Amino acid sequence: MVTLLKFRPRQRAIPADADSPLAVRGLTVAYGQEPVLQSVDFVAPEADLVAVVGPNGAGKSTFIKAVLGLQPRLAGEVSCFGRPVERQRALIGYVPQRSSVDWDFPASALDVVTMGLYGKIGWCRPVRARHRAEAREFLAQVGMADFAARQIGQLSGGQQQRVFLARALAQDARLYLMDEPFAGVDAATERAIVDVLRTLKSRGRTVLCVHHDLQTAPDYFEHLLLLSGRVVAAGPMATHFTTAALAEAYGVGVSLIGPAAVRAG
Amino acid sequence: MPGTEDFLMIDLPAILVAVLAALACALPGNFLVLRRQALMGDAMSHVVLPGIVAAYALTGDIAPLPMVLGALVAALVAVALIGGLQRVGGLEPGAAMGVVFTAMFAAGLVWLEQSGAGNAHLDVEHALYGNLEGTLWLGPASWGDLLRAESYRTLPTNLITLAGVTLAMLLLLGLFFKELAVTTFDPGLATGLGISERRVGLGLMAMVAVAAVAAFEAVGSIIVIAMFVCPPATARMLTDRLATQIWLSALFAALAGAGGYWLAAHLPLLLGSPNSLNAAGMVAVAAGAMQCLAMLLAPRYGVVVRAWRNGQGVTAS
Amino acid sequence: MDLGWLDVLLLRAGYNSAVVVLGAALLGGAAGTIGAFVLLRKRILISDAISHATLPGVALAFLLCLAWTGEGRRLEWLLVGAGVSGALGVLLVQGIKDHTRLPEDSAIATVLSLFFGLGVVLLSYIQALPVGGQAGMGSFLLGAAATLNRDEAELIGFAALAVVGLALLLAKEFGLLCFDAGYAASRGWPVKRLDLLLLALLLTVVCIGLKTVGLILVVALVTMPPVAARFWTHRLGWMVALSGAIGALAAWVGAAASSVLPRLPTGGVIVLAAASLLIVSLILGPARGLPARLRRRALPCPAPKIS
Repeated sequence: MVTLLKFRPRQRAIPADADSPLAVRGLTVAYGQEPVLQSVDFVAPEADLVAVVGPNGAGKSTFIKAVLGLQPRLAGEVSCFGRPVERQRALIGYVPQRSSVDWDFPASALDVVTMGLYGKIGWCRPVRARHRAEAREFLAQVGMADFAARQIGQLSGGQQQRVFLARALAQDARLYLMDEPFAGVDAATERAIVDVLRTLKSRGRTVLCVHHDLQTAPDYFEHLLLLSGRVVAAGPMATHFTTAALAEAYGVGVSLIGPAAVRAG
Repeated sequence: MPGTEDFLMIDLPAILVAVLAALACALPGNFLVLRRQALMGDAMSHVVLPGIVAAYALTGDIAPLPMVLGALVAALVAVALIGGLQRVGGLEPGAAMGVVFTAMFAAGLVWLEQSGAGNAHLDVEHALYGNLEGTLWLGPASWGDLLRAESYRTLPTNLITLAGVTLAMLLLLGLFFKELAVTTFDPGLATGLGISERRVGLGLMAMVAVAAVAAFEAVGSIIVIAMFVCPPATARMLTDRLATQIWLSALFAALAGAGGYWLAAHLPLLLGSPNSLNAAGMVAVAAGAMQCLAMLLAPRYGVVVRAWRNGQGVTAS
Repeated sequence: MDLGWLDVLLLRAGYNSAVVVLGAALLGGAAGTIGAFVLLRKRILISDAISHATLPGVALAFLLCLAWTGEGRRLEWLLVGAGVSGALGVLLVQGIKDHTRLPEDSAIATVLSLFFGLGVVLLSYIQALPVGGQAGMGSFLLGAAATLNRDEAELIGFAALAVVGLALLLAKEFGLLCFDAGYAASRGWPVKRLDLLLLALLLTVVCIGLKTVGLILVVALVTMPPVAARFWTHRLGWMVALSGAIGALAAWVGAAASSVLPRLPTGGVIVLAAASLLIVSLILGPARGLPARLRRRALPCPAPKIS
């Protein structure tokens, strides 16, 4: 019990001259004998939206999980605002891929958002009315205020995604890691997510998003991390989202249509 | 030779019953383990109780045939209820199973006490532990008698039933090996091939029910629970090939059946105690011990070997 | 007979029987409360492994206690033995699941049969001993509230209260663990330790439930109440509360009935009472019971909203 109670998620004051929100050095991850990511180096800029892009099996989700420590790292260091990531968890908001929870669970949309506040509420203390009111505001920010009492399984896929986004907002993290938030969502949700991303950026937060859609990546994000088992390209979208880099990551078959092609050209 | 006579009359039939019961359960158990339904054996061995009590209440007798039929009906009712609760109530499989088998066992228990059969003819502890030691073959008195036809007229009936059921399991596995394999490995592919996953699954459940009922009647529920999971799981630690796994599981089941009985009879003597131990429990312990050995020491998937290999891998890199 | 049963049910049949019935009700409430979380964690059948795994511990504790004090039937000793060997069983299930290729259901079935087999072997040894007191051992298999004395019932009641208190204190944390363990881990909550604590509370409930419900049916006491409660509500808080209430009610009725009719196995009656409540919940439960099913069938599936 004593060691159990030692953990107390709490916001820490961050010195003004702190290091970058996320600095990854020499990160290597393997499933069994099979290496998935090899010596990845990456530094995320402050207050920026970063797209983590790459072909299937490139290790995008693995990267996010290894950064969080949910996937064991074979080698490498990950620091967040100048300290090991394990000690900065209160500063990190994680939005997992949708499939990972039980949609039959007896919880309403509001309950899920309230979970984002649990760290602030602390061990063994009950959830109070003011916490619920706070959670309701975050639901409103993603346009889901009317669905607060709905059981999560009874929401559409896009609505569920927005609820989880609201939970991440409720954490009030400094760094957000999102695993394919745009996967399989409707147009309204896509717009809501983009709005939230812009709001977060304007508040000085950094967001890393695993992103599948090469067409929209340059529209939604300013920074690029292109993975294919290793880092193929990393840097500002304008200079690094090139046909050559994409061809290297995806093989020769990739073709871009529309505005992205013009920019990538 | 009194030693020979004792062996032929008491030990041999008991060993045969234990081995056959173990085989009948272990063979279909391979697919239960692969389909993540290993606890179905546990459930089946409990739900047969109300069936047996019902048969007794209807016939007023403890004749084997009505009891086996009653148990079989109860097992099939349980399968239907578990499926129904999952569909209608939206329960996950584990919860549905836990609810159904405990409810049916409780009903059997209460009915047993109410009907008054509890003292006279049926006994819950017997149902749990079985009565392996009570299996007698009042036929052959010497090895030579085994060659004579009339010795076999007095063969215990549960031995004959179990032999038939084991044979049926072997036949069914042989006939439907492909279907069972493909529906277990890849239900989607099976549907594409025109093999009904549902029907094969129900067929497997029927096999499990028959095996459980036959074995339960002879040896009690402990052996049934253990044999559906331990020998197949032991084999699974040792091989990646389905056919090899099934043969290995049969070997381990037979070993556990014979070895467990022998241990129960002789271990106390070796330790200098006059009383023998419960044979059904010992068979389960033997099967579990074999599985623990395999989990630790299996050449490829054993815990010890893998830990050693990982240690090597880390120092190499 | 009817009057006697009612008297016990309403706690008018003397202090002793009132304590036994209340103890059983508290036990049922604790089982329902913890069961709700374990069910939502999708590990409910591990309780079957735990309950069977307690038997060798009970038997060994009997032998130790016999050697030490000359008398084998001290409930405290037996419960400690049950707890130790039940914990070993849980650890073995976890070890098999984590370190071999066998999945959790095979691990549960393995531990269940190995420990139960061992327990039966030890019991057969005990039964052949030339000492008294073995008769009470049978009640661990099928449960007998009538054999409980006042001290034992009080012990069970206080332990149950402690379990409920801890579960409520950590309800928020357990809820998070059950809903989204990955998220909890990413936020730095000690998921492994919370899981162990949940299993420890489950182990406590199983151990104190052995004497009342019996090891074969104790799994029903933690499974049926939350399953029944789930039909009524979509809210976690309500589900936990309702599950505790259903467990308490079933255990109350069952213990009262069997203390009047000693031939009735307590565990069986309690489980049948819980099963009846479950069937009623399935038929009437507005959240996930038949009414919800029929409603969903009557309405056409709502099309995904595109705004």
